[in-house]
Amino acid sequence: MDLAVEGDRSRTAAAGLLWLSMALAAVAVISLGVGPAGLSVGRVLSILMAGPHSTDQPIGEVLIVWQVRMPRILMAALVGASLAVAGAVLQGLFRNPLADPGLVGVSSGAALGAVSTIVLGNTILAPMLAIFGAYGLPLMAFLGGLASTIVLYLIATRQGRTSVATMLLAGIALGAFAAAGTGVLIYISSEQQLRDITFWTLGGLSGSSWAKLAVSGPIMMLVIIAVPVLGRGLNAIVLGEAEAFHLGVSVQRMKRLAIFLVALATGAAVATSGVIGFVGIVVPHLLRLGMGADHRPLLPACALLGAILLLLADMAARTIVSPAELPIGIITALLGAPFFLWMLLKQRNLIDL
Amino acid sequence: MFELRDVSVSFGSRPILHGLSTRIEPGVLTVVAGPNGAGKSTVLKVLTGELAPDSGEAFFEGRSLTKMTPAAMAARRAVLPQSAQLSFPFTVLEVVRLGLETRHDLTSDARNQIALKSLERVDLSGFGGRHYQQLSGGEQQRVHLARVLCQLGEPVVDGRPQFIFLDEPTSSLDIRHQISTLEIARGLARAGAGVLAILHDLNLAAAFADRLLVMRAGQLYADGHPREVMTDTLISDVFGIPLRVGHLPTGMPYILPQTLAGMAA
Repeated sequence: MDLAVEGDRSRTAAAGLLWLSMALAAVAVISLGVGPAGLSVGRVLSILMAGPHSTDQPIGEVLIVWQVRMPRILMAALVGASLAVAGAVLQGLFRNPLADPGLVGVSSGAALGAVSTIVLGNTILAPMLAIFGAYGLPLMAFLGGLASTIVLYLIATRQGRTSVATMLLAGIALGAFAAAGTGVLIYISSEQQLRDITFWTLGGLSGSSWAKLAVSGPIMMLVIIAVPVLGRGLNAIVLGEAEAFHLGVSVQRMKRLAIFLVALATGAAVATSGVIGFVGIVVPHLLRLGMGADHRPLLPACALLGAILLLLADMAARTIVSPAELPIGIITALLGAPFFLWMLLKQRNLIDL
Repeated sequence: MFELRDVSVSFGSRPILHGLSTRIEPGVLTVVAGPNGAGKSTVLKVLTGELAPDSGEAFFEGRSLTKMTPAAMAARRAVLPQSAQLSFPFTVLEVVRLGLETRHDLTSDARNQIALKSLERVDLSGFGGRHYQQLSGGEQQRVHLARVLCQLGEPVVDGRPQFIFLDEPTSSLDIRHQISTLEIARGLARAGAGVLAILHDLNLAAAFADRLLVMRAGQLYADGHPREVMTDTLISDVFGIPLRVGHLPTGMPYILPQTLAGMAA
């Protein structure tokens, strides 16, 4: 067997992917057992083995695992994976580690799209909803996210170079603008719509069901599966857009695909669980420290760790104030905001403050 | 062979290149020199396909560059940028291996071996595991040279010459590495590759160029062997200073900036 070459971290990355997969499986099983009706890991495993229509197991426990917790856990995992992957792609595209769909206004744009579906669904957007049905809300969230990502890119990038300061400031402006739009919609909304909006904003993952999962799940799955094709291009673009072109990357095509996938992932995640910040910034950064910056292992690893992180946050959200629930965004922000500040202070020279 | 036919480029209303025609041949080390703002970097951008000219056309082996895909171009030519900042923690080996990403025929071990050899060529043996961001500017420049050498592969592949473009490859280097870098460039040209380098140091240009293109205000002012091209008139016409050109016994021209400094004193 040949010796590992110094500076080649592909083996570390492969080992990391293996560990993360096992950790995700473990956290998912534990998470299935946690809640008002606590189940041991052994019970969870035997219920899983028996299948959703088993009659050998207590019917209540089968229902809790398969109908109540399973869709929620799949949803948490997919949302976490989508947000982490969207963060990593945005950071690669903007060539800096501080981009996050929540921070730079992409999530706010998606939220505006979602809220407009709730408020205008009976009037202006009624024909759209008639065609797309349950997919109307994720679609509008996607369009909102897409519009913000494109605007952000146009503002922050000149001649292939992105100014980090401009990007963060433009993100603040975009977020404020989208929030104002959302505010206007809330102002004109009816009592019932207001309830729906509040429920959706704070909802987190509490309303998860197989039916909801069937709408957004496949979209998030699609992005997670498709995103590794960006790996080579994102690696090259780390050197700069001109350099990526010199290396043979079709830069414009790659950027378009990247923006499309980020908007799709963020739109689907926001549509199902509201705005959950900081997952997209914490996860890629930790992984780059641990296993290197090569995007080919990094993107799948982000999906795995993002899923783990959100499952853990969801478990915390469900247990801290049990039997009530904390909105999951509060947990991720409590962890993520100090982390972001720490990164910001560490990289002050990079962003020219 | 690369060919520019009557190429003009403007940024806004400001003309950068007008009516430039030339050919870049394989087997020759071509050096482009000229004052700041003469259009050297723009010529490089047009030749590498990065910038489409406003009028005129750029060709590679008879094909218009606008009709070639980035991947097809990357297989035949490599470009060394002036500098590249990395915002993520890549190791030196990983940066160098980026030059091999399009080579799907290579195993992971083969990539590592080629990358290590390239690092040796640019005098960076043992740097593979270091973080790129922690290197000095000159070391970073040589890391990119190693990367570009990886992308280039052999000077001639399947009987067809490869091309390499170097944008001020010596700008951050000490004198020893300035010379070793240009020796690599000359070696590639001798082995059949086409090499074009933008250089500001006229002494290095005179010492290494087979052909010197001197630009002024978006046009070619002179084109030929440094021995014929580098004259007192050229220096004063193009750079606007009365610097005398001296000659070694071999006939190689040189300039001494000290002679001007002496006059001022």
